[in-house]
Amino acid sequence: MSDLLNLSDVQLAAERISSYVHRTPIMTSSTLDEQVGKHLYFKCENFQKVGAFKFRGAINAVSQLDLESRPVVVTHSSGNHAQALSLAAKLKCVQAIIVMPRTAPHCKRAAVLGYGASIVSCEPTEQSREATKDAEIARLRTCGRNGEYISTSQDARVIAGQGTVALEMLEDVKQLDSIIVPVGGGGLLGGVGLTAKSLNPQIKVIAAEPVNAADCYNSVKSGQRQPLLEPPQTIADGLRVSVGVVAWPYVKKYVDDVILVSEQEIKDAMKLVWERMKLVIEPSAAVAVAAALTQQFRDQYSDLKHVGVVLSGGNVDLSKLPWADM
Amino acid sequence: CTRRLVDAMSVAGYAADFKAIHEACARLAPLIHRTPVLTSRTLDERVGRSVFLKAESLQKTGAFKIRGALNAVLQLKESNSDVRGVATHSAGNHGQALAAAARKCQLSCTVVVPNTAPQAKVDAIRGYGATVVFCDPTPQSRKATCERVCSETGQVFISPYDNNDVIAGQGTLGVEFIEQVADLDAIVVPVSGGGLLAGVALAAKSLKPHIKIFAAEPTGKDLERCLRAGERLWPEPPRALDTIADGLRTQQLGQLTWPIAKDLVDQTVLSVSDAETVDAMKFVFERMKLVVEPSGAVPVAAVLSDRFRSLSSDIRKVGLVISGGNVSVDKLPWMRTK
Repeated sequence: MSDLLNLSDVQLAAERISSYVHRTPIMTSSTLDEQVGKHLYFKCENFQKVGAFKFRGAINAVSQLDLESRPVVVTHSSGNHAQALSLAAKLKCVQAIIVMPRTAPHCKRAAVLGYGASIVSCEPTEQSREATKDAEIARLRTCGRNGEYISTSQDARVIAGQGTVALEMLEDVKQLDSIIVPVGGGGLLGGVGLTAKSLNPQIKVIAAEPVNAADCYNSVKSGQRQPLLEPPQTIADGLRVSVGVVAWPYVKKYVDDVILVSEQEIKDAMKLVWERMKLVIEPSAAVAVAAALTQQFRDQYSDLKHVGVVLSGGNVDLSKLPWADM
Repeated sequence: CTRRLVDAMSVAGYAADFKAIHEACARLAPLIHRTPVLTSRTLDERVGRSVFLKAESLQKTGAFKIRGALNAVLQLKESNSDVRGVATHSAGNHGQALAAAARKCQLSCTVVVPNTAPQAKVDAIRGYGATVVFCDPTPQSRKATCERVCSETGQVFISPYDNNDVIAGQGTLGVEFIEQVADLDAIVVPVSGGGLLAGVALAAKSLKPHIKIFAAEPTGKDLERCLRAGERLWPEPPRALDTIADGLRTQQLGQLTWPIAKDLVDQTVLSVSDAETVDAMKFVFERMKLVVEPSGAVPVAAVLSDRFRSLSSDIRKVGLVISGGNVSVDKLPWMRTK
């Protein structure tokens, strides 16, 4: 376990990325506070570059590459990590290749291309994504280029970058006694957990997860990583992956609990934040808000009074809002 | 030149002055949010200048109106401890703000609302404990109904814009903006009755006499013609504009706000269509992750216009007042099926 990151890795990441990232604000809402009977502190990563916290991990990873070797960064993602890596690569004058399912929406392809990255299409299966990514790296090698795979969450550099979210939260709100974090692959959860517990061992780190994608819940309860066997059906499109191998040790060590929320709770929480806080957040971000609003959270954690909630991103398709009539 | 302008402003006999605005800042500080200023690389590229958005959509009650309403109610209570309550006529945000301010100060409140106002705004007003009375969507009906309410209830009328303390309250936004962004060359303000425009112009020009204040209006308000002529050229009786910007439907400026606008606001008025407003609104949702109502997006549409682009390149840093975010997310304009 000596391979695990520690706080200084996250602090170094913070220095490394500070000139690239926005130090996003913390917002509060008296309406939501009244609803839960606690003080909630929302970290607005929807205001982050590319509209999601993912940019932190991406720029931290790309900033550590040996630019002399003219690396080409490669990943497979159609979501926020794809955009994040594309922008990070552009800022560091590094070429980026994004492997994306051919079924990815036009707007996601356009965003990545807009940042100057190239796209290689694959079939919309896990197998094809991996194989195509590997093929790209092999192809680059035969051209004498250095292909560097930067995973969306299963990479220590990425996890350290995500941890900077907690550094900022704890600097801005010294009285935080807990942080609620949405969980997919576990990069954000792992980074935030490590950082928060290192700064304050008493702080509670709580994962928020769709009940339809409850691999983190099952894993934490059993103590064994239990990835989902099928792609889950959830509106939280950023959380459809299972906690991965690299992130799992951090989740296992630093996470106190996992709260599950239903699809309806996610939609309701998203609408509530849009309407009351006037913030555009995506369903994955709403998962954390939904967890804070559950009776379970109120009953089980009545002692927690100052709760940080990570609003992880705000990239939504405006033509397909969950509450719109179809 | 600086000294002369400030002196001129203080003898001009405007409804508010910098002293009143400055006092309002202190009075309101514990009660309102000092809203953030946000930027967007994409917007800067499209506009060709550095753009700063003051996000009053994140203000208490979801719009800047709480500044004027609270300042007026606090001042009223201070000067008249017997006051029973307050009343107004409003398409929404001022009504909500007054209701919230009245509740804060433990006064009763009635709001006269045009029967075309969005349901979200009506619900919000009631949510703050105020009584809603409906009227026809004409300025005359608003005024007459409100007069009747005041005489029946004894509540004091607080105008959405023609009130010294309301104007001074809105002016606090200008003070904050100038404090938050060094070297602003211009501020673009959405305009209806002119309370925000007048307040921000007074504040900004007092602090930076050479700053330009641009009004942004829905097409049909015709403010530029009035400003250039130095006269109120609007037709009588007062009309409501047909615009998606439901907070900007009053065609005429108020009696107190007009003299201030005439003197301090740039004669180039930026006029935007519904289509431009909706595009700008969508841009703000997508790129800035802010829920903004059509009126609040009008300044964004204004700086994206050809007219603004053709303005002097001396205007390098421009502030936009994103006035509010009270819109029903069930009925966003691009969701409507025709």
